[in-house]
Amino acid sequence: MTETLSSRTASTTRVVNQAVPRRDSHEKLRGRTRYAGDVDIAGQLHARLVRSPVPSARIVARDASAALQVPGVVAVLFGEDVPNNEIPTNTAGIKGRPLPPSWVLAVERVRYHGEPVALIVAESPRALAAAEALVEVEYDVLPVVSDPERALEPGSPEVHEGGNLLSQWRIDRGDVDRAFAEAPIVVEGSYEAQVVDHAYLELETGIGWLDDEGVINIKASTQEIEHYRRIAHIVGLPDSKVRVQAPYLGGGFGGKEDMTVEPYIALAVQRTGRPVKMVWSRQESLTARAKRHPVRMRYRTAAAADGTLLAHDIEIVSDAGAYPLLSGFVLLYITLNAAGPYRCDNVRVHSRAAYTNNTPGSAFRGFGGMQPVLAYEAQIDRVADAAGRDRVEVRKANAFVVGDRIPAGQRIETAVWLPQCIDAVLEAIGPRPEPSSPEHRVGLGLACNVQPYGRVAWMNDSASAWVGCERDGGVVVRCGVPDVGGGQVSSLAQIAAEVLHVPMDSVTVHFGDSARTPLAGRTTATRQLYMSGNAVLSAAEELRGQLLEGVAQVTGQPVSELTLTEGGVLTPGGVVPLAEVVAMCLASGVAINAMRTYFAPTGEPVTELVDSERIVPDFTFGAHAAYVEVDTRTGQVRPLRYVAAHDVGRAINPLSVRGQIQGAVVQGIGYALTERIVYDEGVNLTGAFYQYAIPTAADCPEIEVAILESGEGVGPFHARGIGEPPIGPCAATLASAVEDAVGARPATLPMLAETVLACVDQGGRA
Amino acid sequence: MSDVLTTMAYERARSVPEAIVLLAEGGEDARPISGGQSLVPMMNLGLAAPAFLVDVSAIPGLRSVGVEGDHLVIGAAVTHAELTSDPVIAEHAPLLARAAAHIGSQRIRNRGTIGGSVAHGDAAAELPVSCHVLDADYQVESRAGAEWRPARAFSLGYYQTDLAPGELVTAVRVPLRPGHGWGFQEYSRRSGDFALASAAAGVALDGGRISSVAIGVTGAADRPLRLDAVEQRLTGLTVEEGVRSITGLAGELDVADDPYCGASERARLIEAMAVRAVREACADARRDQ
Repeated sequence: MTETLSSRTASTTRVVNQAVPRRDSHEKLRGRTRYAGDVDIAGQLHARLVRSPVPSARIVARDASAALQVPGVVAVLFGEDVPNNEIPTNTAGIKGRPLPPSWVLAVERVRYHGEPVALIVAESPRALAAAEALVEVEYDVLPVVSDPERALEPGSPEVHEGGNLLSQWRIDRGDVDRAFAEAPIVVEGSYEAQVVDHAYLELETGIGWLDDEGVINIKASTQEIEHYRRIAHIVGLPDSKVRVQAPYLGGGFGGKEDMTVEPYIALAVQRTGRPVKMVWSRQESLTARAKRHPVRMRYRTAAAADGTLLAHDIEIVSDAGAYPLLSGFVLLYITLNAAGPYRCDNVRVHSRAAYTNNTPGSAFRGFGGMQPVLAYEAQIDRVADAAGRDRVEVRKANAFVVGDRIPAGQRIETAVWLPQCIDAVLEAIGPRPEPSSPEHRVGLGLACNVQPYGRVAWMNDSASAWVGCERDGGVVVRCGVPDVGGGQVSSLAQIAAEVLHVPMDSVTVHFGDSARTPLAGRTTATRQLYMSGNAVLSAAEELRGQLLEGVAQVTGQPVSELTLTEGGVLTPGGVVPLAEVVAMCLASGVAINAMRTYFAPTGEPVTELVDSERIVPDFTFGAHAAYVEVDTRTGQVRPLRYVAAHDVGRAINPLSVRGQIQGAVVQGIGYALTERIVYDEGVNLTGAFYQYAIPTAADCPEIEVAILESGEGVGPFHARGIGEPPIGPCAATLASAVEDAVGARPATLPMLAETVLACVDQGGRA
Repeated sequence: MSDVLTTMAYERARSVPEAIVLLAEGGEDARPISGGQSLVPMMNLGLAAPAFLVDVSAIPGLRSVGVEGDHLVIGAAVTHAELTSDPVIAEHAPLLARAAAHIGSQRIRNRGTIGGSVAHGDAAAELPVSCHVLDADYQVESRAGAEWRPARAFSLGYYQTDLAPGELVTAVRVPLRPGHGWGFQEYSRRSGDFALASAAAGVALDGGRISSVAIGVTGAADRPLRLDAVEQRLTGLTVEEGVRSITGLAGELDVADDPYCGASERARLIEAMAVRAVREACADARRDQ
């Protein structure tokens, strides 16, 4: 069930804001969608990585001669065989010492379990498997540092030369010490969140081939086709000689934001001149691909007697693992969002990301906006309790309003419907269910969040789109968006159909091709609808003007007398069908296509997060509520009912919005209750799905979605981004529900039996 | 795509004697297969690489269920799904039906078999611990002939059983225990997962007191564990006294730490399951009176 609360007048759109079936759903349901791994090319080779079995070692010797004797093995590559083996790290805005590169194939040193050391290319997967054990790599094992706080202590083994501090951010706003000294209420808490994996169904996979222009083509499961530049650098070719296509993805969630298979496929194609396919195993994916950062967060919060927030003093340490990847930016988001959706004039945040010999951390849905929710929502509950006030009222009283500044300085410019979201979930959550036995307790939880959408301002983000008409009146959109499963492509078709007054079915979208669709940037940061949607909107509006102009030229009617309507252009003399409109344009020298680039607001790189006028484009706010049942004997937490509300500005497709929210809640329930990667001194022990507990349908409650539409987003039709925001509040919502049930609150994720049983013992209600 | 790349031979046996011959010929490298719900995942993970599979699932005699004298005899290729739905099982060995309902998912229950489960010897599995509590015997056949081996002596450790190459489990027999009540409880992190702790219990009541009790748990050791001392302690107590006397079991168990479940956490879970299984068995026994 989905409820919608809208501001302003009722929508006057025909296709946008309508719950139209997504164009990719039907084929996916029938198993007919062609993912990257479904492509085979006659004569293709197969490639596989040899990975380090240890988390920290010096590489003493490598020998491929035995592997090369295996029938069917075509090549074995080491780091020396890679034209440019260093993968540069994006450091924009990350202050401090230069970040070290990561390596396509490790040469001298391995720093995490599963780091790639060699690439085997062979005629068959069987030959690969036989050769893998025969690539001889001798390791001189080095000390391991696996705890991020220990890594920052002097004398710890250095993962990279120069110490283990990767980056740090500070906010120091107002007079924190004075606020604490004068505050009647001070509450403290420590919180910890674990390493989790994206666990998408579609593994990292792709196929590459050389075309007649000498271009290395790669069709891969990726969130970013614009890695083609990085890939070209690695293989030593001009940018124009690498093309990346992304067909529909079977899941990304940030795990395919960094490169995965692409550079290896390119190297193998370059070496052999033949098509090459690479599919990582689930074990490789779980062991070695970048994960969500685990964090430790220490909060002190000061408040007035009525619960008004006065100050936060926050220390956060994040485990970045062995290489920088996107850790500096994730840490920036952790820092920006550390105080949550609440006004606070005195805020000190010190956040640090440390190198360890664990799997590198990088992007994962929520991107640092997520981890602090567990902390700031617990803190505001403690403040409310200490003030003797209702937790809901304290949230509403402290919520941002338009014009407030976030602790880093940026002003809130669009509506903050946090109170409306809270009201929506509390109304929809319904009466408290009865516990199923005297040994069970039921609790109600509530949590709110804020998550930016769009990229950091100093990335100077842009997205381009081309919209044109065919001579039969059909509409074509070309836009380089990778569709990760969130309905990105379908929403673009809706926008074009809306502006050009054609049915969805007559819009064809070509997407995700770095050579043949205008570049639209990566599908990350909840940016695609916002960026590409605005680009398509603006190109379609431009094209609409051209179509009217063509009719005006031929008929002599002024453009002001013409409107685009269903089926064509409405003139005083009747409707001219679109196919004829196209002919009129061509006859009068008016183009039947338009390309536009949408530029996000830009800003200077900031390192001091206090007076930044512009860091992110805008924010999405939400509130979640849930009933859980806690088994007081086993500590098992079972969500009984879940309601999520977000202000999405305007829902381009309410079905997609609901899908995004429900999917995020399921992922968030896994984060809260069961999912974790387990390490033993840097060795990743979680190599198979049976060890990694993703919630099944049987573990999930009914998830109700309330879509709120303030009409104030900065996306097309005033939409806000919704891809990442709804995963944020889940863990805090369930922690708060457990607290309501048993009297004490879990502060460590996931909330396994041991943690919850400790709360049961502490709460004394068993 | 799995990493199963080994060449292997496969034969479908039509009778037990044929299966015995095939297994004997295959020697150390041969493994019987029925539903494949344990062996095939092990092969996928590279933990098992048999060169020769002898499929026993189509042998008619291995799919029968019937009472013979004082025992219920269940063919080794009877599936978990059949255990949960067969009326003869429901009447004479309801514990097996309750336990089997906790195994994996419906898809797994449709293919997995009782013989496969007891021969596989997973310490966390539902049916072996139930067989311990039922004082069941397993029929083992080989070229040397057929013999019944007691379940309680059959489990030797993690994935280790008293079963040599060339030997095939062909049946499970359960002594008939009219008047007993049964309970099975299990804890896993999510539905369908391997149990972190489970407990099976059988109870007979006499005048409101426990006259006979059997309790077995998983998660406490490298094989199913019968709680002999607890059973002795409970005999003669009322139900509530009995349940209370299980409290504290967590402290008596010697449970190993593992990376996915701490020892103290697991001990509490085992205790909770034991309490609930005994309570369930007592309620079941009362219903029968």
